[in-house]
Amino acid sequence: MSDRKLNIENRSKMNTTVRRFFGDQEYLEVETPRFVRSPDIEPTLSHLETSVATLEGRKLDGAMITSPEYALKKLVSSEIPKVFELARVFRNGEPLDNLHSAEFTMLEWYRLGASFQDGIAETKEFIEYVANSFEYELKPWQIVTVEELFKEHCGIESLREPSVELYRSALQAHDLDFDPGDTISDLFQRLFLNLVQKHIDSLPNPVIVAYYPRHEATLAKINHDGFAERFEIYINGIELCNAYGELTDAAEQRSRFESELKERRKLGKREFPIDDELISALEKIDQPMFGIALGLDRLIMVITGAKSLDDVILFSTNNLF
Amino acid sequence: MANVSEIKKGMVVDWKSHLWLISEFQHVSPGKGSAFTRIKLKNINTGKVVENTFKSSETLVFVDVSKKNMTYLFSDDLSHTFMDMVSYDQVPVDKALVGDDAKYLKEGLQVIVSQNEDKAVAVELPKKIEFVVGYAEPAVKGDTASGNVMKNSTMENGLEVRVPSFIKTGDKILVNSDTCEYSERVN
Repeated sequence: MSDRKLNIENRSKMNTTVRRFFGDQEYLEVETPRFVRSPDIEPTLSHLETSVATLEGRKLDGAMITSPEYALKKLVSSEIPKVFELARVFRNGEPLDNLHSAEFTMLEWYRLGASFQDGIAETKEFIEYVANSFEYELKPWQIVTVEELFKEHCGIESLREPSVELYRSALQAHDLDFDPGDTISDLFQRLFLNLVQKHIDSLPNPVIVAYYPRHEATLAKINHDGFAERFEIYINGIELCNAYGELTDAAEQRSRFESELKERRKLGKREFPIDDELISALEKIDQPMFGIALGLDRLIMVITGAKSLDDVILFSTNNLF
Repeated sequence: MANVSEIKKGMVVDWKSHLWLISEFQHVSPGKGSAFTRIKLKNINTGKVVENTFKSSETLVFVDVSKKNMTYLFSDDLSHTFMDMVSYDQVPVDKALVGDDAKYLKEGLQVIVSQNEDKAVAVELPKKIEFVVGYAEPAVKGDTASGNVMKNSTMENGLEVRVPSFIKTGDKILVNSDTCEYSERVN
């Protein structure tokens, strides 16, 4: 069988597998817009900006989504507690290499009433289900907290009170460079990428890295111990997903959005309008919510042993341009 | 000076008062904060490989290198010797610089040698290298049907490669020099 035919079959099989898994768990599959007025405004993201011109002469400025997250959260309610989407998403200003494509498929699912721990269990179950369908031998899971990793590899005892000084002195102790202008997130990443990631890369097991320091919370809830309910999964050193015990506090969400917009302004990036509909939707949520974004192309890569996204995306950006 | 985001494999940088060859790199865009690039750098003098993470917006000092087509001649205790195909000069290259790639060397193999002020700083192998199979285990009867059964074989220069069961001693094959995997049979 040619590689291309095999790849087309694998992708089709992956979609069927995803739909079967979530169908069995009584999730509803939904479709949300690609072109929106208020896309995800995380400061690092650059969007594929565009506009629609109407016959009446109106110009609708917006962007292609980098994730269907906002729309999916608006759909989750007591009536529809479980939704998932196989969404095409777009990223601008990122490298085009074996792990990145400007257009790719994100699998996202959201579940009302599910705790962070429920979410970890369900994600493991999903990946095991996929591995089984593809006869991929998944090694036993390893679950580790960011604090444990930083203790072992960076010599930082506790991440409960993270600070610029704490990270700077750990970098100095390991003879690693940093810029005076580095933000706390930058310093954290320097430690993570230089000292921790190597360890994760060397593990043959799928690794769940959980509970990030509060400054890495993005859209995650902060738990009673002061850590963000956020986890990522790595298999063969490849980051597959980013998951949150979702922040459902509308006021806190608004204030995070406002500081993200401030950060975007500083970086010279476009300031999209805050998604007020999302804020109102969060106001109606009075239960915990779990949500996850998983790079489906990367999962196919790992499961089929492909070396590059270009081998698993049928018409990857790299191959088109 | 140039931006870290512009680096390519095979470039040479002046970093911490040493010359380093970019041997691998990976861009990382974390959920928060800046974009970073993880780079594996090989010290040109010692062959030592280190990994360092740079902010993609940082600058690095790139060093000019000239690339020349050369042919592999022979090896001794310290170096592998190549011949410049234009000047016919013999150019010895430190073994440390070639490292594990030495297993692919065979007489007449054409490579690209990068030099900085006449000092070799990198040897680039062809992506796929043709070898004559020196010895291949005989196929086991009944294995051929699935087409996916692999067996051991040894190339003319001693390189060991897993090949499909239909490959015989004396066949010519292409081997991927990144992964040391069988690529195809040449006829």
